[in-house]
Amino acid sequence: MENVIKTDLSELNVPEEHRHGLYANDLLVNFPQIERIVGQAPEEEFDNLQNEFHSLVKKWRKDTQHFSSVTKMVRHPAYRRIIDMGIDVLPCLFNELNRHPDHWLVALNAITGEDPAAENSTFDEAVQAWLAWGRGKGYLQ
Amino acid sequence: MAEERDLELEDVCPNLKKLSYKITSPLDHRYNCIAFAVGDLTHFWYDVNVNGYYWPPGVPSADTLIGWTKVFEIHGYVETGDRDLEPDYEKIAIYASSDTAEHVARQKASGIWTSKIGKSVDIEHTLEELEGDFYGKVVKVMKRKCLDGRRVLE
Repeated sequence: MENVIKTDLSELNVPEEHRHGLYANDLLVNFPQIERIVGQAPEEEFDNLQNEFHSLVKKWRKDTQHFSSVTKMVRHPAYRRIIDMGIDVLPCLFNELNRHPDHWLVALNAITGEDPAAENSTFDEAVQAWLAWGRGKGYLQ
Repeated sequence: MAEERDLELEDVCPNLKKLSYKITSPLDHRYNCIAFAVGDLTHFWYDVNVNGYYWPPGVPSADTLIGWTKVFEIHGYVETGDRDLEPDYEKIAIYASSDTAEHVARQKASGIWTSKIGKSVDIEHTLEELEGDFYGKVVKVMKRKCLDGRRVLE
């Protein structure tokens, strides 16, 4: 899989006193040089990703609900972190877009490099285009 | 049915705690304050490089006061120093922090102001109630003559 760093914590300059008792989410949040935790069971890995995703969404939604500026919305650290999670987060992102449509179009475009919505589409039309694209690619049931 | 109060909004705009504001719509992420001010509830107006957003062609960045001003000029508004109700005119008021436009409200025939709060609700309010650290201050008021004596938006 692309963008997977296989390494020992010592190679990441994680201080020794921090190497014990860390949860995967702690590592990902506190050590940005870590792109992905390897060696976990896939289900556990996905659960961790889902948990982190949902806490980031909650934080982002609360902090940006009163912004009119899309620039400010997408510069929020939680939004940037979701983009940085890359293609692994796409199933979570498409589920979220399906259940609670919100301003995820920029993140989806940044992660996939695609833009399936037509020019001049309304926000709702663009969301529907993305959901259809996500279903076609198998990211959304 | 709209909620009576938005406590999180009151936290970021403490002047709203005077409680004269009124929530007039449910939450809606599909349009923003500038769309609402020009009467478009189907688009989120911003210049974003993905489809699903709208920004008039040739208008400067949505991150700038000059960009927002240009949008309203296109819609027939001109600057005025008078924020009071003039029955023959529709008015909008742009809030900004330095050169960054943060919010816009439009005036209703009653003289009360109304605006869409980000991705959240529509409210009726006074201009002062939204002034503060979050949206900045009203830096520009613009007006346009009513068409045949009738307001385009209400």
